[in-house]
Amino acid sequence: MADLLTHVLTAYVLATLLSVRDERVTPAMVTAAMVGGVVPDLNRIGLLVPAETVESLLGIPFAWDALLTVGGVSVVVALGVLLVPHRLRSMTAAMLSLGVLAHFTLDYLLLFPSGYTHPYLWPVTAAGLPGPNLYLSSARWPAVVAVACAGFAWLVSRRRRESEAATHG
Amino acid sequence: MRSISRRSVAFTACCALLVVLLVGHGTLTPDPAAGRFPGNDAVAAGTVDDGGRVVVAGVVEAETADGTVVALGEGSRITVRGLDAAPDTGVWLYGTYRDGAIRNRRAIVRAQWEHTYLYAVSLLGGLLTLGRVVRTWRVDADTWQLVPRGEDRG
Repeated sequence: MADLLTHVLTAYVLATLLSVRDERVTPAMVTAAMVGGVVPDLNRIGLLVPAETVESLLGIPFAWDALLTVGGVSVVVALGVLLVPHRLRSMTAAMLSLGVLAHFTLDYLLLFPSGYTHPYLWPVTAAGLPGPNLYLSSARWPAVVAVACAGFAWLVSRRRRESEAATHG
Repeated sequence: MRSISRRSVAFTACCALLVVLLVGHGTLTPDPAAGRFPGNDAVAAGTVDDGGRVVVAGVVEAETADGTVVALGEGSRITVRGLDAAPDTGVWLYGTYRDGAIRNRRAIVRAQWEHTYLYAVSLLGGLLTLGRVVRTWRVDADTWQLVPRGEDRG
């Protein structure tokens, strides 16, 4: 995983720029995209409750890393969509998926020692993907770039709000 | 009432499916042909075939004449040959297991502060998102739904 700040800011940037074009992308929907950016990293629950602990308690195999796959995130996104009113479900699904997609794209570019990524496409396939191995998850520059882009997106969004207020005022 | 119960059924079905996936992923075993290599547990247990490829993560303990000793956690350690890393640095490496040691092929070496940075900045990202969720969404206690703040419930 790239750092979570980079993931949520990338989702913020993409959703905020979309909001300039599409008024259905409200501030709440921008938040939904950011939540989507968090979803694949829910496998980090394993830092608090190790999978081995769950396995010994239940007596069956268990892996939090299922949450870092298209199968796991699809179900979590479906759960998120069920939490909102019916009229907001398609937009919420789209925004959550945007954040998830941005997350997987950034993670696919990461450097893995074997050259193969985590099996992100499971259960479609359990194979790791040969990745481009571009950067480390602990690299500092992705967060710096993400913060700069988020600042730009925030300014664009603020200018739009101000011009709308001037038009309506 | 009907839609609420339908939503409950769908929610329960999704939770059950999530449990199935969490258990199903736990049954995956290493398969080098599919890019999934034996890890710390297999190396510590010595169940890796001679000449097999492995991916392990640990902390460098010491440099010896035989190679670099890497602690894999829970008291187990392995000697890695061809690794250039100072004591107390974290390593995540891919290599070939032979005669109870690993020949390093490619290693990612990181100082402990880099791990601290990763978790600290990730915590910041999590808190930023949580703060925005609280600021832009609210719980409608009547319908048990999340609704955007400042909008009528749907």
